[in-house]
Amino acid sequence: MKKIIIGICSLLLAVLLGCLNFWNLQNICKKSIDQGERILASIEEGDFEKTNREIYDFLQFYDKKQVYLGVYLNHSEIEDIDILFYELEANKNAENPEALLESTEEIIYRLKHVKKSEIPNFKNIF
Amino acid sequence: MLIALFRTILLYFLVLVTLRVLGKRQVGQLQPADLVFTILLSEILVIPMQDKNIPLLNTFIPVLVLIGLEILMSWFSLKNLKVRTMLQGNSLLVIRNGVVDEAQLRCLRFTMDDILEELRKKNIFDISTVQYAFVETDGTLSVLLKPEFQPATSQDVNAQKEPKSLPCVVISDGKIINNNFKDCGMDPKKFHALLKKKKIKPEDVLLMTLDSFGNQNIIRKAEKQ
Repeated sequence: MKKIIIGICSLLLAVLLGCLNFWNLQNICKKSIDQGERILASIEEGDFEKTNREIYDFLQFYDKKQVYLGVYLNHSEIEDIDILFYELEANKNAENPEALLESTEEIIYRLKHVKKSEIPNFKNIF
Repeated sequence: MLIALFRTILLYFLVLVTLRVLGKRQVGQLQPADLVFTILLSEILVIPMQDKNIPLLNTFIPVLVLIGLEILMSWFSLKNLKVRTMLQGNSLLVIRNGVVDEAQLRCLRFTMDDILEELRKKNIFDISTVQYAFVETDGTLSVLLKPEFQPATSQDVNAQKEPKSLPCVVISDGKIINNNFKDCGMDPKKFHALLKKKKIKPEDVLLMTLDSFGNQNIIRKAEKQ
């Protein structure tokens, strides 16, 4: 009886961990994408003060969530996203709106791809 | 993470079906479900050891799933004969009344060389001495010799034998094993009195066994001999 309980608990723990981590990852990606889209909107408005503020918030948010992303994703994926954020920061300091637009769009694309590739559908499982 | 969970479940059943199809020859000493568990577990644990790109959480979850599946499958096969047959198969009689069942051998994809090898491992060099032989679900061979070739027992020669009792380990590597006193029917107080009488300290003893008739066997540690 004890072993059955251990077996069922193991399975339940695996399901719980899987679901929790999936939800957390999707949440991080969604918030990052929303933040990225706000940056794009402010660039298009031409409000550079607002853009700088949004980028600063975005970088701060990513700094906090980077640890969790490192736990959920492959290192190679995280490294690519890290590089994009460094580029974003460099472009912000250089005050180059076109480069900022490109960096932000690249980050949004990457995060959308991560979000999509972690969904347990037929294509991703097989 | 959910993808790792689903993949683990699918791969588990895939390997299990594959091993059942391959048959007893490939299984060796383990039951198919045990072999599946061992193979998958070793692969899951080895890969993240070598590839630091893979997050460890991608290993923990599959391992938890494997543990759960292994325990549940064992329990189901314990409770349900059909599940047991599906997972482990049945033992097959390959020698019946001294006659080799060629159809069963073909079914198992065993050759006569395989049978002779297994018999030799059991110190049986003459197949004509075998009355019955089963190939078990783990691939091993169980043999019953013909009566005239079986070793004599004390009953056969009408020898009077003293009743035997189970020797229990009461001291192991200097430590007293209290749980075993019940098995050997020994009272702990009597045991300590015995040690005192023989002037034995438990920490000087490598191994001490005792049975319910009071027969004891003491092996002292090397430096104390």
